[in-house]
Amino acid sequence: MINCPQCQTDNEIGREVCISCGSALPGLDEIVCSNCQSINPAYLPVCLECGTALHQPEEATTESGKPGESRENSEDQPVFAEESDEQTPIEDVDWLEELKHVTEPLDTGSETGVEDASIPDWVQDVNADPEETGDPRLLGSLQEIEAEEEQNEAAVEPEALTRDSSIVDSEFEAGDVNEPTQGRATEGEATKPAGLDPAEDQPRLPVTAELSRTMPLASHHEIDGLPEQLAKENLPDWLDEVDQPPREPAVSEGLDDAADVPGLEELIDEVAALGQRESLLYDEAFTPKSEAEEILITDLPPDAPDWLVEIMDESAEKRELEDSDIERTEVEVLGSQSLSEDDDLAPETEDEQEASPVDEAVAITAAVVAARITDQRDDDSKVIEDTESLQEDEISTGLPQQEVDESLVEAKELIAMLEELPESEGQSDILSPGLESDATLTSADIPDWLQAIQPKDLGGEGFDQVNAPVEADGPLAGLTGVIPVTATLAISKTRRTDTHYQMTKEQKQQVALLQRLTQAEQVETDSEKPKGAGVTSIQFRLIVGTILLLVILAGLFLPSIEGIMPGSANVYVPEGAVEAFDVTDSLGGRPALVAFEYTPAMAGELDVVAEVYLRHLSEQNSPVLTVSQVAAGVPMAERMVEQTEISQHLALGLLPGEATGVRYLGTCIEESIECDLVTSKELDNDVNEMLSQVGLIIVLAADRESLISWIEQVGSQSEVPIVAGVSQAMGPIAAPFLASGQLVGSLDGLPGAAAYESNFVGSSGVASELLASTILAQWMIILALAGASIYFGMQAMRQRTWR
Amino acid sequence: MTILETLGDLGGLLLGFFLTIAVLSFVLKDNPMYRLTVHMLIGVSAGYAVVVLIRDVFSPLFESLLEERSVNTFFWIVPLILTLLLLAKAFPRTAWVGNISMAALIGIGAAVSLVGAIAGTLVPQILVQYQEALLGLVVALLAIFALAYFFFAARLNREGDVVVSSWYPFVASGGRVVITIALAGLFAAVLSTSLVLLTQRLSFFIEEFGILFENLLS
Repeated sequence: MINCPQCQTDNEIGREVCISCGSALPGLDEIVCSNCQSINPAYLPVCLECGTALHQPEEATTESGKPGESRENSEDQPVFAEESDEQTPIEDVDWLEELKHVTEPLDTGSETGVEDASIPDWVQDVNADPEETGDPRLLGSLQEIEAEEEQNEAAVEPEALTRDSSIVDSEFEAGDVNEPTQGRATEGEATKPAGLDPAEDQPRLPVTAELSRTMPLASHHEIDGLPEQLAKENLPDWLDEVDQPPREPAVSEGLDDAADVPGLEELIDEVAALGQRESLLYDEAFTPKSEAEEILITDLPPDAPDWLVEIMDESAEKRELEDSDIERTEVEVLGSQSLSEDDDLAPETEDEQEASPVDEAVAITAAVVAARITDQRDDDSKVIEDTESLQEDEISTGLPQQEVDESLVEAKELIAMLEELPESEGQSDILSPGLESDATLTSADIPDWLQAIQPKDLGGEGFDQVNAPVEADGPLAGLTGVIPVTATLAISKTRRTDTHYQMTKEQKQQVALLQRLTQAEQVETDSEKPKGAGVTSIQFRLIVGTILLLVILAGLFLPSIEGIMPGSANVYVPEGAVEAFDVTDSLGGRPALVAFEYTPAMAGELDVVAEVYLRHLSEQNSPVLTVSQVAAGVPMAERMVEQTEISQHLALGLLPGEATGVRYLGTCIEESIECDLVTSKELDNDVNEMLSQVGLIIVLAADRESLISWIEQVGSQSEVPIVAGVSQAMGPIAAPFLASGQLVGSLDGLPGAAAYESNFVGSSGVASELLASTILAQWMIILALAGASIYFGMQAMRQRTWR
Repeated sequence: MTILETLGDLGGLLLGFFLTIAVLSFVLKDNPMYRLTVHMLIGVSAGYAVVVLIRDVFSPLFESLLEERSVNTFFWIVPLILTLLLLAKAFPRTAWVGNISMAALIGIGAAVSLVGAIAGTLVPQILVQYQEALLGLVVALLAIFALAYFFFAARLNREGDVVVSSWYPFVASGGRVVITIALAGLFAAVLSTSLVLLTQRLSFFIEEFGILFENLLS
């Protein structure tokens, strides 16, 4: 029944609103705190708000007395993974911390760990004697439990199960204890194993639930949840026998007796919840790699809860558990021993049989915790790897590193708390006999109906159970055909499409506009381009290069062509060359400042230009000051001065500072001030006087910035005329300054130098020779372009004709 | 000229010829020899720049500071400190220290360049266009055409349709012609420069090998 938090009316399970007041009722997976009326997830042992125990004794007894309701509840509550994935915001649960605080007093208590002084008040309240409190509901529930216990004792057990000893049942109960609802239901009726119900699409089994699956006999009585028809028609006989009221296991008796101990049942529930949650999360995070798991891990949401990251980081602390007193063998007995060996598992001494309920319950609790710890320790190396990958995933999820560190600390505390749980003295004695039964381990007999509901990818067609790999470790060690837990846990989630980038109507129209505007820019496709037939690209390049070299060499060795071919230097004299000659010729012996702003890469063209200028200055007997803004220009200046035999030369060297340095030098020229340390050199009076008398600035530039720098920084503040000697490629850039008068004259490359040389210097030098060869090469290029155009044009026409 | 000098010139000439052929091999395709030559050019240029800087800038400066200790000498402390701060940018942890020097360099350089651009380019170019009004008008018109070619925007009418002005296609086509002519002229100039460089290089080797063989024969 679901108690309405508003009017306290009992409502049937399944109702969403109260039958009395119409207020919203908590869901099946939720429970209302009896103290503060807040709604909590059903798996929580205590209220998130006030810490009050959520699972009151009367609930268990009431449900146990109504199998139908109990089964429904058991179906809802154990589905831990579904709740964590879809419904319950796990990151909001701090129950681990609360649980720690609750269990700590018990752990540090006396030998039994259940002294009244060490039990929290809320536990004492919950477990108070109903007769003392006079609570009629509790009294009724207790009566129902007693009546049902009597029925169970009277029930006939199957032959196979009668051989089960109390220790076997204690194992099973220990496994069930990890699942609160199942454990509760087991006391009164058989519970359905998680994963067997087809309705459970993703049976996320904790470790203890896995243990129960590996014990066929123990799970016989858990088929109650199956449909009746299916149970009647398909169930094997031996399983049908189990469909009777379960026998009363010894440990159950002990647990019932232990219920009288204040706080013990709550402790079991809390530890069971802890184990269930931890095992679930651990299985999710650290099960062997598979494609499905990849999906699960990578699909961790950005707001992944802290405890998930905590569990992932917990693996880093597993090595600390190596020194733990908990033995792996004890856990293996819990997990992997066949119930057919139950004779060995039977208690051997009266002391064990007469162990107090408290001791047995604590022993079960410790065993469960040990199973959890040891199971994690077995996968230590794998856990480390998975942790690293998970940390990477953590980065993708956007969790800050600080939160991860904090989670790591909390994980340490959690492990420490688990280690501190009391261990029963008789536990090892009870469980150890099963170690000797590995050799007689029998394979499980999976019924047909279970085969039918087994997923295809796990055990359907093509699944060879006989030749399936044997489980190497863990609680399922030694078994074949084990269904991978990861596959059952993996839920392929479709990535949420981000809806932030939907195009608006305006954006679509803008795209359409852009497409319209760019339609005219579409070029011909490669298929439409004519290609040279039978000639590869390299061959074509070789042919063109060879022809080009031959033509240039012909121009060099056949100077007579100079007068034949048009384009000779005698034909056209640029206006800038005339102006440059006039200015240079009018120097009258005044010094000239020549800036070599080019590197050896452009020396082939600008050396010729510099040569004609320097030869003219040499004829004028004008002193020459050389400077350069580029380091490679300094040796170029020295070489050209030496080559042209300049009589008076002063090398100012490198001029650092780019525009600033040029401006500073222009200031020295214009204002006739003493520039003591221009270009870091101490200039004597003669040099300063020479700078102040500079009558012409010649800029030999191969790049725009150098030319512009001289024009802007020096030309704007000085009346000294500037002439340029630039490459042909730089000619268009110098033209505007020539038109504005900022450049008095300009020699544009080889044609300008040849014109200057042949028409004004009066001698046919290197420039004229080079120009003849260049003009011949240019004509060859023109002919080649014309021939190629005709050839490919005709080819294109042929293709069109064929089409 | 001795034999050793001749052989030295021959070695240098052969090396230069080999490197020239390696560069020209790029006509076929990119190859290791071409890359090696390019890397050598870059490395030698950088190394030579360092040598020139030390020889022409740092060495004369320190010599003058050591020889003559005057008031002006102390002024060099400022650039010296800025230089040292600039060296700190070589290390990531101290890179921020060099920002002071970079700020000075960029700030002063930008100011000087801006003044020069205004006084040396903008104002004179505007004035010359003013003097030749017709030429200025043509230049402005062609500039508008060229800019209109890169205008990729339009308005939406009330129905949400894209509307382009009727004159825009014509102006854009005109701009396309202007850009084509300008790029063609620049490309032709670059091609001509390349031909000159090739011609000069071939001429150089022919002349130098001729001189060398003359010396060897003589």
